[in-house]
Formats: sequence, structure tokens, C-alpha cells
Amino acid sequence: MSTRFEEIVRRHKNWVYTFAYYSLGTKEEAEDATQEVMMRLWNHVDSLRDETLGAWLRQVTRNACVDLARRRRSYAARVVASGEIEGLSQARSHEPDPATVAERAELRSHIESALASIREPYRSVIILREIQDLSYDDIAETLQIPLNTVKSYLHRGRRMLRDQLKRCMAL
Amino acid sequence: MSHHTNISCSRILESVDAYIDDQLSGDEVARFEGHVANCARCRHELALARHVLKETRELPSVPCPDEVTERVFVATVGPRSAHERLGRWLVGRRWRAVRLATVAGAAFAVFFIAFLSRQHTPEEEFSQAEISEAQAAVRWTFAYVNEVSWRSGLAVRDEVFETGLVDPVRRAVRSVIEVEPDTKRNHNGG
Repeated sequence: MSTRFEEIVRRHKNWVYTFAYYSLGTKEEAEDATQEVMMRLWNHVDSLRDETLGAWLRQVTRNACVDLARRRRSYAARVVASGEIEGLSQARSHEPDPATVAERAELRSHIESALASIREPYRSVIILREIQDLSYDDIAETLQIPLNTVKSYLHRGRRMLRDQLKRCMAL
Repeated sequence: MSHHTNISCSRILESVDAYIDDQLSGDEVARFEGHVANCARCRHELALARHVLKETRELPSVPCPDEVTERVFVATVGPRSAHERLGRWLVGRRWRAVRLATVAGAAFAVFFIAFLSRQHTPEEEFSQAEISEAQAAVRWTFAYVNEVSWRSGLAVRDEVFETGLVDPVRRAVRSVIEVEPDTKRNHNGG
């Protein structure tokens, strides 16, 4: 049991953490959510088949993030008020042109903030589709909604993201 | 209503993402493109949508810190095996400088003992001062590793101490000095 558990954790930890990071907006909360997901995995690993593992993990990850965000409702207000959250932008400095780097870093930082502040389920759909490159079918399975609803949520979510960015930046 | 075509800007703005995702019918695409070709505002919105989408899709995957999985493993399957823990501890990113200092301290203890031993043939006795100095160096090293592991929050278990530090020091002492503990005590008059 423990070996399989460890393998699953190693294989999926970055996926879980990435979703949690973009969903919640801070590394600390992403760590909490990831730990929560892995503990739930430990409790259910015996009953999970390999074929259903991915969908189960995605659902549990998303639910853990939604629960955590709900418990910390003040987060969205904090993000909107500050206009910026701790992000990876500072770490992305490998590109040659400093002006371009700065501009992109600023935009990405605002995208991260905007993402964390738009409401569910639009936020999850955008992260799953645009950042984690899941198929529409997998997103529908994860969120347990019809395929057409996924597409409609995705488009509405993108509009929300752009509107949020327009409020933060002169776009 | 835009004067450019018989479709309003608001309808165009609602269709931007469907257009980007190729989800419009042939007629809808023609109307969309006809409008956008003549409407600067909608052209700007389309360019903005593409730009934001591109940047969003390029947001990187974020690696999960080792500490998170370590905490999970400790709470579930128990602490890692001694060698694996030592290996992870040595190559991990946290407290790299302190770890390097610790390893340097352990190496110092081993080489200090080796250096002292080279000053003597096996038959020669060590002075009390030399033995005390060697013992102090080893005690300092172990105490320092204890302190480091406490500060870094990574517990170094007894067997890790045993295999990672005590054994190498013991081997170094025995291989170079070739003095059994009982004999050494006799030398010290203990």
C-alpha cells in the first residue's frame, strides 16, 4: 500500500500543487491544499483503481481548494485590494530583453491575481483547460457538468479574466 | 449597434472566445470577421483576448516543494529509510549552506583524526592533549549536526547518525590508528 501511495504522490504532486497554487494564489495555501489532498489519498488509496485515479485526484484537489477558499473568504478581497499576490513572476528572469521580461512578468502576475479572484467554477475551468491542458471531457468529468457547460464556463471565465485585468492594468 | 456590419459590437465581444476556439459556424465566422475588419474596438478586444490567452497558457507548472511530500510521508508511511533520508537531506534545497557546513564539519573530524594519527606509528602513544582534542572535534561535529537538524526541522534519526557519520568516523579512526577501544583506554591509563 505504502509503495503505491508513494508512487502516486510522486507522480501527481506537481499537478496537484500547480492547480492549488493558481486556484488559491499563495504558496502557503497551495501547500495546505496539497497536503490535504495527499492525506485524503492515503485514506482511499486501497479502494482506488488506476483507471479512476486521475479523475478522483482532480475532483478531490478541486474540492479541497474550493473548501480552503471558502474557509478563507477574505483572500479574494485581499488580492483585489493589493492588486498583486506573491507569485512566480520574480523567479522568471531567464529571458533576454529586460523590458519585455518586466512587461510579461507584470502581466503574468496580474493574470495570477485575476485568476485567484474570479469565482468558481469559472476559475477551475480556466486552470484545468488553459494551464493544465485538460480535455473538455476530462474537465466535464472532474466538475461533473455537461460538455457544453464546460465550453460556456470557459468562455465566460476568460471574459471575467480579461475584465479583471482591464481593471488592474491599462489594457 | 456598429455601423460596420449588421452585427453589434456586444455580440462580437460575446463571440470572441468561440471564434478563437473555432466554435462558430461558417456564417458566424464570416459575420465576425467582416465586423472585426472594420471595427477598431473589436479588433483590439480580439487581440487582447488572444494575448491574455497566450500568456495564461504559458503560465508554468509549479513544482511541489519536497517539504510537503516529506510531511505527508512522515504522517502516513512513516519516516523514510535512513539512507534515503540522508540522501534527500544532503541534496535538498533548504538549508543548503548549513548542510554543507555540517558535512564539512564531519569531514573535518575525520581528517583531523587521520592527521593526528599520521604523526605517530602504531606503537607510539598519543598524548592526553591530542586524544582530548580529537574527542572534542568529534563531539563538536555530532553536536553541530544535532543543532542543524533541530534548526532545519528535519529529524536525523539514530540510524542515520550511525550510517552517515558515526560509521565513517569509526572506520577512519580504526583504519588509520588501528587501536582497539580497550587498548586505547589502557594507553590513556583509564
